Amino acid sequence: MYGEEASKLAREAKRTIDHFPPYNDPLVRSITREIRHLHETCQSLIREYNLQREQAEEEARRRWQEQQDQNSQPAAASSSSSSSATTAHGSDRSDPNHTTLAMLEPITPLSSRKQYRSLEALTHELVQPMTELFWTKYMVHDTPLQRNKRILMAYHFQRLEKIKELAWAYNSLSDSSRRLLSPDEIVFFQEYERSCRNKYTNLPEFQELDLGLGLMISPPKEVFITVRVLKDCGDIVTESGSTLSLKKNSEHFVKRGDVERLINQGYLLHVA
Amino acid sequence: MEDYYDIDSILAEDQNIKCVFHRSIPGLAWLEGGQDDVLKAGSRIDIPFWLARELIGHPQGSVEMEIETPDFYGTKVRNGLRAEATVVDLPKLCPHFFRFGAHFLQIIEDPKLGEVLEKAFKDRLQTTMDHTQSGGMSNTTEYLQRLDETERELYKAGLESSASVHQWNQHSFGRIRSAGEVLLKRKLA
Repeated sequence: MYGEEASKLAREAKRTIDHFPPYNDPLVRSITREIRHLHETCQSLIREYNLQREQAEEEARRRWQEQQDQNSQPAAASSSSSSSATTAHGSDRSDPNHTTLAMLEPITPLSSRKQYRSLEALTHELVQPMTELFWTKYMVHDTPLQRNKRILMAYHFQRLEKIKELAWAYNSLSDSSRRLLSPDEIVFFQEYERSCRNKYTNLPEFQELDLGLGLMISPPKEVFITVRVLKDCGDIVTESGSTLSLKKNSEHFVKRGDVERLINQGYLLHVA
Repeated sequence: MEDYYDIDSILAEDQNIKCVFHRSIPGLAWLEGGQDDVLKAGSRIDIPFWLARELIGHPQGSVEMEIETPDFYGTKVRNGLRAEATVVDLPKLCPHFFRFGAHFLQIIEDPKLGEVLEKAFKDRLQTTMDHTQSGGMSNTTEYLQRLDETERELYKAGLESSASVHQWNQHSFGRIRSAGEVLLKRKLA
């Protein structure tokens, strides 16, 4: 049944709404293959339908012609008069302003309008059932195509929202994060980060506050914070000039601004 | 559709429903899993809701078909919901019970079903929210198993807000998080 792979992807997206799994490239590829296959099927259905429709219209015209020939005599007289009227028009076509009384009548006299309608009815009768079948078959292939597309869009949208969050919080990707993204997503991250930085950090307000992307997303609650060191970082020099030696598992009570970047990168842990 | 990107909406439409075509359609027998080419008129097939919705009443003309109301919206379940809504095990019937109901009612006229669903939702909501605030009463886990997806989301939201209040009381708000945390966890603050 078409659309099953896509449902699998949708379920994965739902399951992983909290954590970020690696990009599911094989599944995405097989879904795009299915889309292409469905598209080809749809195209061939359309071609087939157009062919059948032409044949049906031919058939309808042929039958209509037979009907007309059967009721021919009075109809022939009126049709010949209308054809003579059209030849009269033809000779005056050279002078566009020349109007005759005949021109002022409606172009198709009443009797042949009725004939035209009966042709329409006949064509409709032959074509309609075929049309219904066509639309049903076509929709059975087109709907999974649209649904596959929708699911792919939703999957990528969800991942991109997370990536945007990352871009705002941090300036660069760590290696472990990089492994989780597809190459296109990495490019997106870099472009997005660059355009946000260009747009926002050049505004005068930002210059004063010295904000960049990746710092102070929420207003700080206190100036000094307690941190515990997770990974050994050696010694750092703080703003005020003193040095801190950051050995693993040691706790320090430090100014927020000094250590914020290190916390972001995962070297320190902010303890209440 | 404003919920084009919404995963829950997508999954809710995945529910299968039974349809009957009134005419034979050559070339579609695989819908039924059949071997020969023609899908015979009057055969009941099980197709996903998103497909049925497009097939029924296409403006350019489509083969006539009927949609049956699925069992889990039938009389037995409705009576159960009317009697005591909080006890009915919804995910067993249909994982997106309420959401699918909303979609289903767009193509089928059934005001009674709408009323039943609305009332059941309201009744269950009260109990669900009680479970979030009390931090786990004795029968919480079994109660949670009877919630459908929409209700589960609400439960999670309730839990998050009560955890936030707790955090605020502890002054542990506004913690700086590392990159790994952002990727791995949903925002709590």
